[in-house]
Amino acid sequence: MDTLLDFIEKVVGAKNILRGEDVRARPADWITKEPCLALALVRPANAEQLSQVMALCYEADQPVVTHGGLTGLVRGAVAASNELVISLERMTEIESVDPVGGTLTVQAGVPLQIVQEAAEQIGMQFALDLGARGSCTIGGNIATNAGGIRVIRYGMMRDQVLGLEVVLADGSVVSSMNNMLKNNAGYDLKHMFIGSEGTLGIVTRAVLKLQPQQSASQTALVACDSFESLVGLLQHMRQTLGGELGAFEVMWRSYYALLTKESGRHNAPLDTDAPFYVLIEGLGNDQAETAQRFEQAITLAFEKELLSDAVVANSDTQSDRLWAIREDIEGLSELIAPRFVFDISLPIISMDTYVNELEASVREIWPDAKVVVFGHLGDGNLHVSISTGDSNEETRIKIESLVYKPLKEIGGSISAEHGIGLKKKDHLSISRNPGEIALMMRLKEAMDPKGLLNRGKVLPNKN
Amino acid sequence: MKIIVSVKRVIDYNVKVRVKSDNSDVDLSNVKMALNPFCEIAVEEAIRLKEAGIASEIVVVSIGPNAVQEQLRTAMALGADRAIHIETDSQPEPLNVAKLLAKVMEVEAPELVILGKQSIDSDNNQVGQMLAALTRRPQGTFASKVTVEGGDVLVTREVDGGLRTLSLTLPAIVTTDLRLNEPRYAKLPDIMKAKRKPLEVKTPADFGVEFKQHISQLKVETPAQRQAGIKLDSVDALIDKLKNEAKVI
Repeated sequence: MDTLLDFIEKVVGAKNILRGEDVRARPADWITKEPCLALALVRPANAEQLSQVMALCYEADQPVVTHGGLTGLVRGAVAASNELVISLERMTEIESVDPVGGTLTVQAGVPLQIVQEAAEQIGMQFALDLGARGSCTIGGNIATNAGGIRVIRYGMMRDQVLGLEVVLADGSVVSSMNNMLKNNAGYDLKHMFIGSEGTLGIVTRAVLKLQPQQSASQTALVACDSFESLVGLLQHMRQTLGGELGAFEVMWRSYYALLTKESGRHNAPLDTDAPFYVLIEGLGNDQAETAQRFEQAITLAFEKELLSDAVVANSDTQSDRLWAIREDIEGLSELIAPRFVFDISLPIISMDTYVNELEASVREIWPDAKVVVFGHLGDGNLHVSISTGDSNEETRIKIESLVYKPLKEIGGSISAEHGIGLKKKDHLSISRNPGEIALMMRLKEAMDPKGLLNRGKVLPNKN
Repeated sequence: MKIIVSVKRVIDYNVKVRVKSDNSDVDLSNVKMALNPFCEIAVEEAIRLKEAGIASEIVVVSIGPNAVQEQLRTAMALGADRAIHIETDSQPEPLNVAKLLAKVMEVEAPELVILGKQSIDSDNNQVGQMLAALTRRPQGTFASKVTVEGGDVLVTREVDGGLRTLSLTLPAIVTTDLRLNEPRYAKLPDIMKAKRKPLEVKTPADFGVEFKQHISQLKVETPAQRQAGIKLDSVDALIDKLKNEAKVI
């Protein structure tokens, strides 16, 4: 083994291969904070170095796991003691900015927030946004096809990527750094890698699509008395704000009350007695127009009784405070530990019944269990946290079955935006049919015949 | 008890400020504007005094172009009873503002005037003090706590290494510091009601005040960009840099 690591060391330099305690000192997973067990961690500076490293690994049948910002939630970055970690942490260069074409070319290790700031500097915006923006990387966003809070308006990561450069399992580099909006010359290969969770190749660079900046924003937190009015409110806001609806984030009372009054972590801008709370954001170009349209839309919704109460932020400081309630995942983790976390998709009209029945079925077994729900309602995406007081394997299996089983009937997905990783691979067949899974496995076989890339993740084991 | 609160429309605290290309001023075109945070705290304090049954009426005053009515409506949505807009397109200096407010005090005869200690755009921190001098009333600046007891107002101020509490005879002028309170959000039903609350539009001339200019702004510049740090390989290299480049040892 040492000979392989020695060869790799020659490629990346002694400083950029970590072994032993230096690897253990790093976490493998941000939720469990368990140490990284990999045999070594390699930090290539660019695609050329990574290409050489992968060629060596291919030769030696050495499996690898790619690391970005490690903010994933499905154990997609966990490495075993005989695996090598490829960390893209040194690949943080923003290579070029094209204000005319509206593109940004970056290395895969750049944190999302740095990309957002680089776009702002030229009066544009990078439209993907999520709570982990400070730590998560563009490569990780691509590998997981990340979603977040602006999907309702701009789509997922897949919609923000124009081109990619990828290092394949055998070390060959495929450059598909397209920077045109339109390019129908043959297969669009980038989509094969977006959302592949590091199992088909390692993304090293990307051309990202930018959007015009929407400097005028308005934020409100509203309370809804029923699920019917909540759905009516979503339709109403879509219609009245048109393209300016930037976010429609729903918090079930279980989430909102917990993070405000029950824990004291945030002041409660609205009383905690309504079943649903929504954080609504209007995004536009003109300060006065956007403010007026937003206030009119909210007022009209109130008059139509689609919402029972609302506060409107009168400064960005207040808006930030409202968002802080919705984005306080750290608080949620502290308040209900241990917990099982789920990221599911389902038709919006099925959500209320689904959540009520899930709560009932969980409480039947664990009467004191906590079921906490929030999500991107407009995207049909809910995040469900369940805490029964213990985290043993038996409980996990039971809870997973309670959460996932009903999804099959209503045509939902076990993973809306977090991916499959290790955590959900046993349940893939709930959301994908045998034909789909068979084609995925053929693709994996063709791209990574030795099975070296993020081994054992996403797809069922062969045989 | 009647309270007057003066409020200013300023660039939103979170906005990254851009300087006009000719360096004459900050670029305010299509930039988010908001209530000055210290003024917002002043409004909140007045509302709390009203909720406690101490104040009976809150009048908000703002000086500026038509757009300041937006901030006056916000203040009324938060809980102020009525508003006075003194319309002008010029940017009055602190002394002019203080003179106008002194005239408003003559007309309205409030027991308490609460102002933000300063606005986050011009950072002058002068109006409250000037107003106290012009009206010959006691002042309690940078309040971190305000209590009304009979005919007095007790103002606690954060001073170096401790707290200092003053007792002022009403009517008095109080300016607010950041930690006095956390302003509330405007509730939608109150925003709707605020549209029907009285808003009186006046001009400086109505109060017999003529703006005089004593100060002119020469230029506005962005701060110099900080140079990125560098990593050195050894202590010797550091000593060398400190000696020969930074010349500090």
